[in-house]
Amino acid sequence: MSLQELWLLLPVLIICVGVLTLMLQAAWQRNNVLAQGLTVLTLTLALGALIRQYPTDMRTITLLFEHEPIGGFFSLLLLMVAISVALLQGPYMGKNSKEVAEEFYILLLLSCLGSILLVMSRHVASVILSIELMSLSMLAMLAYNRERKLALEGAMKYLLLSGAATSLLLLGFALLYATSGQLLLTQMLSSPMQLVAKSGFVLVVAGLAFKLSLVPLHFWTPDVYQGAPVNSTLLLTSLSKAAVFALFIKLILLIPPEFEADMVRMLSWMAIASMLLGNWLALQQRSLKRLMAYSAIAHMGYVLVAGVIAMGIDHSLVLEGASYYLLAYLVASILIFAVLTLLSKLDEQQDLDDLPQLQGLFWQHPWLASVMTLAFLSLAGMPITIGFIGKFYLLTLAVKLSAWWLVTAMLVGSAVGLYYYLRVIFTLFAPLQRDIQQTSGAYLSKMWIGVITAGLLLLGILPGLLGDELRRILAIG
Amino acid sequence: MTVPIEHGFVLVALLWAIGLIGLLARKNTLFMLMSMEIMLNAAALAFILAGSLWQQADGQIIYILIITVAAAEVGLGLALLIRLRAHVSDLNIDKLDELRG
Amino acid sequence: MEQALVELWPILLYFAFTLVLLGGVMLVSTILGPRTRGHSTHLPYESGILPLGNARVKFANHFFLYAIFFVIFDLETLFLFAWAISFEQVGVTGFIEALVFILILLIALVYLWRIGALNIRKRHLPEQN
Repeated sequence: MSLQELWLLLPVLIICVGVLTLMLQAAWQRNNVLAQGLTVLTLTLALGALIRQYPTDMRTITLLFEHEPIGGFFSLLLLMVAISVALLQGPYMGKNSKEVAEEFYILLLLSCLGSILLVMSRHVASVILSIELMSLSMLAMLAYNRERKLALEGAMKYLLLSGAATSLLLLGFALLYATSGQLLLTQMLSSPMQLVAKSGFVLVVAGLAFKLSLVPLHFWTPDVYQGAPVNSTLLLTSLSKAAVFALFIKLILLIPPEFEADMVRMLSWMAIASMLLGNWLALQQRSLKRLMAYSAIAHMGYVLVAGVIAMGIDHSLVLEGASYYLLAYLVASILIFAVLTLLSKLDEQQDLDDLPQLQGLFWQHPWLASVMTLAFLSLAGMPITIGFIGKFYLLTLAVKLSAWWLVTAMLVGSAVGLYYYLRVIFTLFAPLQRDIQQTSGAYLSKMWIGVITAGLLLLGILPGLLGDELRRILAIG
Repeated sequence: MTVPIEHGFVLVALLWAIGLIGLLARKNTLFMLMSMEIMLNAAALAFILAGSLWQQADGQIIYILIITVAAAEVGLGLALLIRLRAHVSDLNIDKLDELRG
Repeated sequence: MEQALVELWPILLYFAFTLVLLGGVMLVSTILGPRTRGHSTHLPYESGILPLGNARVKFANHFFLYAIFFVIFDLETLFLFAWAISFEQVGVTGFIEALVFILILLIALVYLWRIGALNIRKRHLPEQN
């Protein structure tokens, strides 16, 4: 490992140092505010380091990692999510929580580290380690409130099922390794594929589809989302989805041409099923977290459409579309969960989650309700929000490829989605029923929410602002 | 005389199936954790076999990584199990059915 | 099969020899050995400490923590072992990397020690029946 490679790894190294510092801090002097400050500082430094040496072309860092524009863009998204969670955890936890505060930040940094490494991986070993680092530390955060039985239940289910999914993923990689004799992802998939190798690849896709909660492997999502503390749910719905998707798209772009037709068929069905089933099941939900879980399934279906199209036509345009859509999804998720976080407390048995509990939020906390409304409109793909542009990108691409099944499923899904998103919005504006408490103070977190909301609107009104920039950031076209 | 490599992969498939059946059929959460562990180890064994097929040490390295990951996973699982004991008196997975919608 | 027998015959011989030896010793001692019938003959440990209570004592789950720490730290030595094997090849860089690895482990250990995960408090001792 040369010094130059170390220099390229700087954002990762900063996070590592942050983790160790926080551990020492927790060992000597427990302090809620200090831990939060250190975390935000670490993440900001990492963000700065990443922007400072933003990759313009692909460079390998030892055998295990690579530094390339698309991964860089995803890392930016991941750091943004991690900063949001770190800022929200303070108000969510309050000053005198029964749970310890520092460990949450340690786990947050660890899962952020895992996700960034996952995006950078180019070797089976680094994929395994980073994907597990990410999901195991996330698992501990899902059960962070030890008094909540539901959180423990959700975490236990997630642990058992994700263990099974991981074994699928590993088995798939083992089969690919057995047939090709290579462990680098690019070389592993470039050799001609026999039946064994093909089934291995399908197993890998299944393992990743579990983490993305695509339809045949989506069943864990609502339970885990509902059980977990709302801030950890935010992390699960954004961080792990974005990072795994980065790997997913990297893998399916490597498929050899003779296997492409089969994969396109399989992934198309998965995407269509996710979009329809996710939106359909979300219709009947009263719990907002379950609703977001089904909505996440549907949105992952939309993003998968981009992946399917990517195999059909030239990659660059599709990567742009997928990145934009994912950005829109992450921004909206962050905002919705941020509002819920500000209205809930970690120490209570339940988060504010039931839809009737939110009734009339606008009349009491107009700002929070407006932010939430905008976020839901963006998820529904309404104009002047970033979600509209994201959907527009994908639809144009799908039409260009004349993938009419996908287009139909997207349109039907969006129409159904619009219905239940509007239902939530109407609830927010209904007459006030009972008092809703929000966390007072926490100005920093609220300012951050404001910044993200502004971004949502700005990019929705002026898509060109990022559209051209995005092409440069991703170093394509 | 060496054992043919196909036998090894049959063993992998059998181990994995045993783990899966255990995960699906068992009611005790502790045994479900064990079954999950068997599944992970089946995959790890597959890496060793693949490594020996190509006469490389890489398969064994990956094996070490996998058992490290599995140890962390089981540590977390047991910790969750102990917390669950405080809420539910036994380890029956069917007691965990409050999340539905 | 033929070849396997050729390769394995020392082990088979060893097994057979052990069986014969064990059987022979037991047989000879039953025939020749003196028989006494004292009051402590049938205790499990004739000359040790007398067993007390039930073997199925409930242990507090704090001991599980030790087991897990052991498993985790034990696995980490595996990585050091891999480093030790390739010590010549990896050179100074490998040495520095191993040092960093050990440093991280050390910080984890310090963390565990300071938050009191290594203490056995009174209430964690096994319950007395």
